[in-house]
Amino acid sequence: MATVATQNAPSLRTQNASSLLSSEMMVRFALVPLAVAICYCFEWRQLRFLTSEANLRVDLLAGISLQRLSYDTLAWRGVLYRYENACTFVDVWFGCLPLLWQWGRGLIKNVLFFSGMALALFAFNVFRLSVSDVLFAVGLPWDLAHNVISGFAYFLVWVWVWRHRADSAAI
Amino acid sequence: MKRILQILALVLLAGAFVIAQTGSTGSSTSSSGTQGSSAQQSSPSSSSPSSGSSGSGSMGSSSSGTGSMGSSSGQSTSGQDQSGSSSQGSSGSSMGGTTGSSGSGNATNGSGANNTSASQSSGSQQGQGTSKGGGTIALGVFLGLTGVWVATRRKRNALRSF
Repeated sequence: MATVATQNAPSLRTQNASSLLSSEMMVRFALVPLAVAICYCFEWRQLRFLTSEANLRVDLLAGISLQRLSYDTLAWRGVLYRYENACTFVDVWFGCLPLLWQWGRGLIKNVLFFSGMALALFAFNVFRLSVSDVLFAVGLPWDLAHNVISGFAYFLVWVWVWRHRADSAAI
Repeated sequence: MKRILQILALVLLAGAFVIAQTGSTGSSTSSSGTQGSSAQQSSPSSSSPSSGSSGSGSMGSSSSGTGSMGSSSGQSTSGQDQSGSSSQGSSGSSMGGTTGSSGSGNATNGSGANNTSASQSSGSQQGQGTSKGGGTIALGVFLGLTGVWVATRRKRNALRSF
């Protein structure tokens, strides 16, 4: 039985891949910009403070001493860093909403899932910011240390979302 | 059960709304200097590094604008002096957010009727951002990696079918 399942695995994956490109998925993709736009209607001040504070503390562990100037602005060696919405990954979370929401899962399970995902994204984002800071402190240019790393981070989230979709479709 | 679900949904929405609404909608800060010794600090947006700037001068006000989505341009203008000092505002430039556009700062000098005091205008520094278009770079890296990833997956699936 296991052998049959193994043999059928590629075809199942192909089916999953085709189902991922279904019309439903297209609608979900179309909703992503809308969700992100809604996200940017707000300032998310507390989240920006939390993100900057967490980044400050993690950076302290790495020997980088940031100084807080305001709820969303830190300074390091005379250079100011301001945490915008994009720095909190809240836009990523909102973008994932239409992609990962499952009607068959029920509201409570969806809420729990996205709550857990929010925590995971928060931790991942703080890790990303701290890695950027460390690389920048080592001497890498900002574009490489922060922006390229951000691109990698977005990509990792994307891969995770896609695989999660595929696994959910397989189930 | 339905009631619980409704309450949960309301709590979730209310929580998100409260978090989102804790801030004001203003996106620029301004302050005015008094009697020639005020320091104005610009605020670069989008966590780009930018050198701090200060403006000095009497009766001058400087403002620095910031914006979200990385497309703002910091700008500061000096106030008009009447007592002879010039103030110089400066701004940090912002890096691009998801839209990828970058801002640029500019500064203008104020001029007074009796602009003869050098000491009052000293100490001003012109800020200059060191990162521009960061959102574009991040987006480019993301799209590039995603393109390679999609191509690899297609090639892998094509090989499987044989």
